[in-house]
Amino acid sequence: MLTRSVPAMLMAALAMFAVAPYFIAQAPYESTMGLVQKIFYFHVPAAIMMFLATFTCGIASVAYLVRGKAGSDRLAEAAAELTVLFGIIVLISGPLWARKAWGVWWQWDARLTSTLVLWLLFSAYLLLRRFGGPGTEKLAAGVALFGMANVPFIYWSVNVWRTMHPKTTVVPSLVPEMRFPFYWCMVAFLLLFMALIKTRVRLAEQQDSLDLLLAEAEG
Amino acid sequence: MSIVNRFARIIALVLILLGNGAPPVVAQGTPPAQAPPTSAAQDEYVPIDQLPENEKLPAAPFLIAAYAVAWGAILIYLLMLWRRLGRVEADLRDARRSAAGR
Repeated sequence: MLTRSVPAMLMAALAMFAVAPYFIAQAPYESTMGLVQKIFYFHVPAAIMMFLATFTCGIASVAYLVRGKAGSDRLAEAAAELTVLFGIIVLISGPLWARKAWGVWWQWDARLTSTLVLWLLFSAYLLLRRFGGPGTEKLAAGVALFGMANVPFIYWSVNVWRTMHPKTTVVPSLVPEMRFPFYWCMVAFLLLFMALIKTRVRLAEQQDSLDLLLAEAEG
Repeated sequence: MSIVNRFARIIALVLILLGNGAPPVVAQGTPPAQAPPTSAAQDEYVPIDQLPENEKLPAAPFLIAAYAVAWGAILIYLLMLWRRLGRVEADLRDARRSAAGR
């Protein structure tokens, strides 16, 4: 059974998501983009959660490579799944915004391309874990390190290279009426992230216990 | 004829041949020089709310699709996770019961 904190966090997150459209609708329109800018309130928190999941996976992978504890490996695998999940939201909501704002679905610029590379790296990580067979944990941990190293490049890419993507100054420069729904969604995504990662780690723990029991029964 | 003149003639000949050999590229790469100016080109900027209706791209479907994708992805993952956890916990209970019975 899961601890009580997970259902509580999940219910709080889902309730916040249910109310979020009201606050987002109340937020003022951005002057040049209009209605489509409101995709931002889900797109940016999802991107931040993707980065958080990437760092969690990377740091847990380092811990696993150094100490070899199964708990670190379970956390890394759980975080990699969340990187892919939030990456899907980012990589679909972004082009939906771009089609209206830029007139194209996709641009092969630094920010978009590096985000896609990050998503592909963590998809590769999961495929490696799923089909790599025994002993691929360390190899997957190495892939996670490459993925984590990609994050600073993605974040700074809009400031360093010429790109159509909005810069990192957008969030700090939000007007107070836009700031509240943005941080509301951030908290909702963070609660969801914590509930999902705890549940996914729990699943890995139970799977390991089951594998151990089955191995003992066989041998 | 000096060697410099001869060299200049050869260069000019090569340039003429290259120019004649690549008319489609030139035609595709440059816009027609004498194209009649449109009103948009003269005004340089047309505010989005003054565009004709058939040139406007409505924002609402993109916004709804983005939120639907986010909600859908989260709910599908949540259901998959819940089902996987339920299945593993049921298998674990069965395995523990059979281990205790032995």
